[in-house]
Amino acid sequence: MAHLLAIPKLGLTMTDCTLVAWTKQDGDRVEQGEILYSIETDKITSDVEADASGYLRRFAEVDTMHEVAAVIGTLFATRDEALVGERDVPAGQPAAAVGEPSPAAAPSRAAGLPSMYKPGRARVSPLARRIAAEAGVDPTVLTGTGAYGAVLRRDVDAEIARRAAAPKPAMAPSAIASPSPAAALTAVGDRTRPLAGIRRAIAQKMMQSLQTTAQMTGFGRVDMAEAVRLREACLKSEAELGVRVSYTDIVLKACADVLAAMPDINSSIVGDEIVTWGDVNVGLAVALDDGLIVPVIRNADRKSIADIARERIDLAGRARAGKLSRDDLDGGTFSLSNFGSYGGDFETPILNAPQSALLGIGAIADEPVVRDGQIVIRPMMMISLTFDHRLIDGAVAGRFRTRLRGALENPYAMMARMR
Amino acid sequence: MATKTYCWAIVDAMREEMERDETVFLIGEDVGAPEGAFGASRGLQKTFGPSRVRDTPISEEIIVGLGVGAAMTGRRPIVEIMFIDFLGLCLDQIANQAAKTHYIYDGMFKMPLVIRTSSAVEMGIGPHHSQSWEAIVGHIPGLKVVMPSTPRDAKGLLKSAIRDNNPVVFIEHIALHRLKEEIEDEELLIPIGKADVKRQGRDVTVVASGLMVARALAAAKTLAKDGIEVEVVDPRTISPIDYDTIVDSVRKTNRALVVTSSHKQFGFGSEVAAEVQERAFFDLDQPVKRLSPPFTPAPFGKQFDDYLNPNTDAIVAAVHELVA
Repeated sequence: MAHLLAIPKLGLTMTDCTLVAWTKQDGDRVEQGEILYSIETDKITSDVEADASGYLRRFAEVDTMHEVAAVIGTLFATRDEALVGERDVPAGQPAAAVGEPSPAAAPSRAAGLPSMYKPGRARVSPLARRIAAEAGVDPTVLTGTGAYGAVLRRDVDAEIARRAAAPKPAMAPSAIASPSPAAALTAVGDRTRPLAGIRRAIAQKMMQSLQTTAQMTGFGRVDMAEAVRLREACLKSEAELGVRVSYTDIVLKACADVLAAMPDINSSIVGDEIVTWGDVNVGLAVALDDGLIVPVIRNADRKSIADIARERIDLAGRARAGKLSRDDLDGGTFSLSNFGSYGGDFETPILNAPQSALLGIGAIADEPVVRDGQIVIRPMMMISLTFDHRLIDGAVAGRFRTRLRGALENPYAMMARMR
Repeated sequence: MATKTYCWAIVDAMREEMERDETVFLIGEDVGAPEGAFGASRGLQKTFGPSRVRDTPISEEIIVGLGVGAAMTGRRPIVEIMFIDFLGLCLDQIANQAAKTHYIYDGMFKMPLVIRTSSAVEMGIGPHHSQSWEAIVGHIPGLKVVMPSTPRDAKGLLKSAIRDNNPVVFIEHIALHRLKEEIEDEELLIPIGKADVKRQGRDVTVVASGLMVARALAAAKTLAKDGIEVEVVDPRTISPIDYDTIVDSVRKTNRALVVTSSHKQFGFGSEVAAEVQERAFFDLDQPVKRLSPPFTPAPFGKQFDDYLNPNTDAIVAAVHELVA
């Protein structure tokens, strides 16, 4: 009795994943409950336990993409069965011939997987292959939406449309004396890797955000003298508070405080409706080695600065360790991005759809400013507020910036409101 | 224009051709005085007399053998074999004599023979009367095989078959005999070897013949409600089959389903699927799909009909899989 190993569905929205690691080799004994492989979905790597015991034969290579329920390996009753090479299966004979899969355990799609669909080989329909060749697209790196993850015409068409919409590469193929665009762009030392996992998720989210919303970014300058004072006070009480408060925590708190008073900003367009969110959940952009992730601090308007600091440290730590759960990422109604940490002043950050606004903050730096007719030196911070102009008018966004500036220039009022 | 049943269209075709050409005659079991086991020779013996519309004993080999000899000597016989299942009794005459005469005599002898026979799949009449053997005759070079799905096609193709100098196996379906359609009063000749697009569509090509055509059209109607436009191609002639029309359609839709009332194994659907992929592989976005009855003799009893031929629901489901 052989047991098919199928990609589990780990979340409501999960449709596919990248296989990132196997913990066992072909022919190894696997016990039920042991961690057998790891997969990467949107932005999270998850370990998957074996759901049965047996001897492993792997069908899928690491760094390949798979749909939910795709079969990536089989557990056999004996080591010999597991080591029977694929080539030993007579051509055209169903995979079942080397061990009947358990119908109860096998997902319906996978159960009917004919042996012609060799695992690990990109499945591309003949039509899709032809159209891809004509368009100079490599169909094997596309995500197939057909049965068994097959790349169909629609997938190639979508890729062609995406390329047509994307900006042209700096070096136009026509500038090179080569007739084939694909060949022209291939040089020694070029390296390709699948657009997969977190990078693919970011790519899709960014494009979708820009294509489906009307984004505008407004800038402002905030005198951070009082915020600096507040932070210094917090640092003095670090032992008592039990946490090291950062400027990010103070700004995040200020954003939450203003959002609670301005529900028009704390809203989203969902389909044909405008939803005003009851909670103020602020996402915080955390840079990773490869990409960026935005864990959410829930009900930030009702939390103290110290609470927010504690939560931020926990989320950022887990984000960098790849240990965030889906719940940590869902439900944000606004986002905060601190590009000051890498030296930025102004940027035009891209909305984290379906959120309608996002604040980018620059570095705090001493600058000469005019106060009461005198040039004085103040710790200034630039803020960049990107908002969805479909929903939020410029004047409303301006009011938000003004109130936020007020909250940061006089943080005591918001602290006074704390329960 | 007059509305005719499939059965009357066949009677009309024979009557017109017998009036037109006195070498045309009809023989078979019960075709004369009883006017056909299914009424498909009504009035013919009264009009043309017992020498041109002749009853025979139950002896299929003699019926076809007589037709072969008559055709070689200048007549245009129509022989009726009541059920296609009985071709086994006369297959030597059909496959080894009628089909080979042109070739063996290098055209010195013509073989203007029509073998009219009926399939009765899904009539609940058991394993010996329920087969669809178009693939068996379609496998033999030298034979033409025609399988009309509508009254108009039946009339036009039967008249062409009678005028053809090659042996033609003309396969009716008893369940289609009552089907009605308007047929023009003028001379109607439909060329053998020409498929008919029964419905235009852009998403999936469904190739269906005989009894399956109406089901493919019903499925297409259902699928249209989901925005799936099915093109239904009726080959009408099994051999020689009009691959050009089928392949043109597949080039447009990129997906193909073949629905047959004969078995999948070594069958007509397999033949179409194979040819489509040879000619149009790089136009296919999905593997070609086949729908056929299970590989089993047909049981007695109408209650089993649902399990024999692909029904409309099965066609709808198969098309959904192709566009998924």
